[in-house]
Amino acid sequence: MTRRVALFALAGLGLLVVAVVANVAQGQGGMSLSTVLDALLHNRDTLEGALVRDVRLPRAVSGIVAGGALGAAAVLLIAITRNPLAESATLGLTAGGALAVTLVAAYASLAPGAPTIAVAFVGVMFGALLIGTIAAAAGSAPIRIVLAGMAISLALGAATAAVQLLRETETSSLFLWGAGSLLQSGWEQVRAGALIGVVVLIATIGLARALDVATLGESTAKALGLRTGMTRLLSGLAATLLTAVAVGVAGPIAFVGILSAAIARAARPRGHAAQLAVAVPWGAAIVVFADVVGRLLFGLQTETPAGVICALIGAPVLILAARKLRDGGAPVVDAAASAARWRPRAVALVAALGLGAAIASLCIGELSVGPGEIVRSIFGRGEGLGSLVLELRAPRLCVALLAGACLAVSGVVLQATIRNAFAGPELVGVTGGASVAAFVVLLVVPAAPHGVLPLAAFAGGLAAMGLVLVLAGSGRTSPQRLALVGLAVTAACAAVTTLLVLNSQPAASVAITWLTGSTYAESWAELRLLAIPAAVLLPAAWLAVRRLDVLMLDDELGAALGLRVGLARVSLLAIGAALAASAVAVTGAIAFVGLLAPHAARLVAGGNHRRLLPVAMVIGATLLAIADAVGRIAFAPTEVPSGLVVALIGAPYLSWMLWRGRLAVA
Amino acid sequence: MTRRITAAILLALFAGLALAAPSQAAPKRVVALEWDALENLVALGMKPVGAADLRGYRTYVSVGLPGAITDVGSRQEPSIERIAKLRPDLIVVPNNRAGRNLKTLRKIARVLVTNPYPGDTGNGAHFNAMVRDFRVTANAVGRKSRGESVLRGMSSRFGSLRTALRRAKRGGIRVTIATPGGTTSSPALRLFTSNSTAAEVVRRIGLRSAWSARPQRYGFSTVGVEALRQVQSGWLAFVYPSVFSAQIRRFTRQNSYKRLAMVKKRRVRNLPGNTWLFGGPVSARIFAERLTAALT
Repeated sequence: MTRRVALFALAGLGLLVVAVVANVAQGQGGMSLSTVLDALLHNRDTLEGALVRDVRLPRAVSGIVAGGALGAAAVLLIAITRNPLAESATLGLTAGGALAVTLVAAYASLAPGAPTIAVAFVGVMFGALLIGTIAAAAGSAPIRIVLAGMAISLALGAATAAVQLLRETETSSLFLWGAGSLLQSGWEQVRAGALIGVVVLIATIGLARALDVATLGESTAKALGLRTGMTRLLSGLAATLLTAVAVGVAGPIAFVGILSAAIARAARPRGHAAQLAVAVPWGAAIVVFADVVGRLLFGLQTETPAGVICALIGAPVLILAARKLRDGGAPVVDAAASAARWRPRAVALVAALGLGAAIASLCIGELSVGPGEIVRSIFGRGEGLGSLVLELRAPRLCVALLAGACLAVSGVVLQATIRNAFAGPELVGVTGGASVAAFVVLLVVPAAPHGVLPLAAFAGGLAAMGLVLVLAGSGRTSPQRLALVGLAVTAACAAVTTLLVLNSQPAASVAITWLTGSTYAESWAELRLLAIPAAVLLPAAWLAVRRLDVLMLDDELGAALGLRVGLARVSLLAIGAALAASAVAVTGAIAFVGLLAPHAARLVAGGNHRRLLPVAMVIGATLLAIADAVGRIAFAPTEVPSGLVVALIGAPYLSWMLWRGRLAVA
Repeated sequence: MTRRITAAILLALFAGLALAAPSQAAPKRVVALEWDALENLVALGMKPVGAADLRGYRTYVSVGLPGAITDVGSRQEPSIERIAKLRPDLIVVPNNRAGRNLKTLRKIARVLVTNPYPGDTGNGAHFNAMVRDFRVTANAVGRKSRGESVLRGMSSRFGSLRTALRRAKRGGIRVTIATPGGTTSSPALRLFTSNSTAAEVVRRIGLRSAWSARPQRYGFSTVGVEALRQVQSGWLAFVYPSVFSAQIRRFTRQNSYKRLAMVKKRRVRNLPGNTWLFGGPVSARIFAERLTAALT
């Protein structure tokens, strides 16, 4: 171990000690410092003694365990994916854990009495299998795996939201845990976590040498007689266990792994053992420190989850790291799409499907209405309940069609400008910003007039995208950097929304529904609200199809063709963001349409944007219209938010497309 | 602001009533989209034709229902079409649930929007809102006098409970109301703050609400066991349905919990899980009765 590494490790330990002392000194009981000290040293049998020993100490230790585990997990994940941005949260592992714990809370009979760590392990394992499949098929392009991980998180998060909506009251008590809280009720859980953590950590140190060799490269490792596959598998398993420990002990916490691993890299360690020696104490220090800061900022009157603070500390650091990222790196293009040709028949089929779905959606429901009734109603001669039902179905269908189209076009534009087939409004900050603004309106000022919500969400979405652009260095920026900054802003926004929902049970499901996105009960007024920006932005995107073709390829080529690349990228990003923000403002944070409709469109229309754009529009509209109808009809009278239906269609589609390796690095 | 909006809603309502007066008298077919609205309608002697999330209502709310009410789906996104099919003449929904569907609901029937969680955080803010909402509902269904008698019943019951508590030498004791707020492995509590309905009911039966932390928007703060040290000289009442019993068991197994003065002196009570703390006057009365019974 070099001196520099030792210094870094000691600095981490030093910070950890300070953070632990500060942490133990804080509490909701109103105990003075001398009382705490006295309780710690002498009075074992008093209430204060029990509080300090069995509540405050395990809290601090749970921070150490969770943070250390996340730091070690990140070192492992970075090594096996060869990706500096890999960690439990960015790869979708913690989201899997959160889903499993929420499921068991909602349906206790699934695993009666099982400890959270065990439940979390099952979920984390599920997340690990998903991302592992992708990584195995795809190799190691950093941004790509992280975007895939975020997409997995998104899908698992949608499933979690679904459970929360179905079991509103049962899961409402999970909000504190779900935001990453260190609150403990004794040593039992912390002890189990620490035990597993230490055992796995020792095993990991044993693996460190093999990892050193494995990261030299496949051929070198083979020459040295190492089975890299086995090393990766074991490392993956260790990372899964460590993540499960962290999720079990403290809930899903993001960015601690990336942070501590980045600090470890700054120490320039030789080998993974040295990396662990820095990352583990730093990870621990960050989490405990975050807990202290949260309670300083928001007071002791109500719990502030450490996970929220970790995300808020981590996001700027991730942005800094993104700014330092060298330009270049291969764009992620759609391999299947490059091969795909224009297939008019398939396109016609898609259009017919869309039309059929729209008509069926008008006819089917609680009351069946014949097509003749529809025609009569359109000409204002409908009567009675039939016409009323159509009056209810038609606007939400229209909003679904238009919002789907807007999201799809937004996805096409963003994917071309960021040159990444995994980009989408939900991953570059637009949706996150809109959600924060909407949550403030929904939870903090619910008495605000109803018109305020969409306006605030629209403004929030644009503001977040603007922030992303400014932070990423606006026009001169590389697509990769944009994607990363977008992720960081998205995660920070998610942290703020979690904090807002914590103490708002009676209204929480309003917010969660918004987060899933839904075309429920849209009226003509909402359609007008969406139609106005769409009427401006959709043609604007259409006029830019040539620029999109060029931007998708290469900056230098674009410049040679006389395109002002920076200006074109910023203005197109603004169009894409505004389209998504308009749709999301009306429907809530619907994900996956902007991500997947462009991909599906490329399969039938090829890569030429003149064809791709309208086809994607049709597919997006169809997708959301079908989701709207299915959500309305499937479990009537219980409505399933259409955003959730889209996620349930989108997540398997995404997995399939990743599994088939349809996206490749050019 | 809130008052002005409420006033506007009321005005609109009266205007609507005045316009509709010749054709329709008091509404007969009412749909309730939140549990407190359903409970209030039943308390007013109505038989609502439809209500949201009846399964949940039966788990969490103890006010009995007249038979054959149609379930119209979740409280957050009730099925508009099923509501339309019921041909209601009034729909009652709180403003925190009625965002997007308000315009659509208005196409079906007259909509009464209540405001159970006003922004102000003064003592009893939610209780006053609850009473106001109940009165508005009573007026809307043309049962003003019946509504006043329910409210009078609640008040006089509070008075008799106050007397009973004083006789049992419990007058003026400090009580903390807690519901579960964590996981089974990391249990936490939600303690009701001074602006909540629960805290006001505690005050009205002559007790004192012990948890004096900063009032929260929805009336409770989420805390760990340590917070109870500040209120340990008083009494503690848990309210939770059986799904949460593992969490509470775990919470009460802690060493520190066992050393709280309130625990040592056996000043902890469990109220039945269907004691709904976000309900109307009848739920408030039932909560007061159960709390009194537990304390005496």
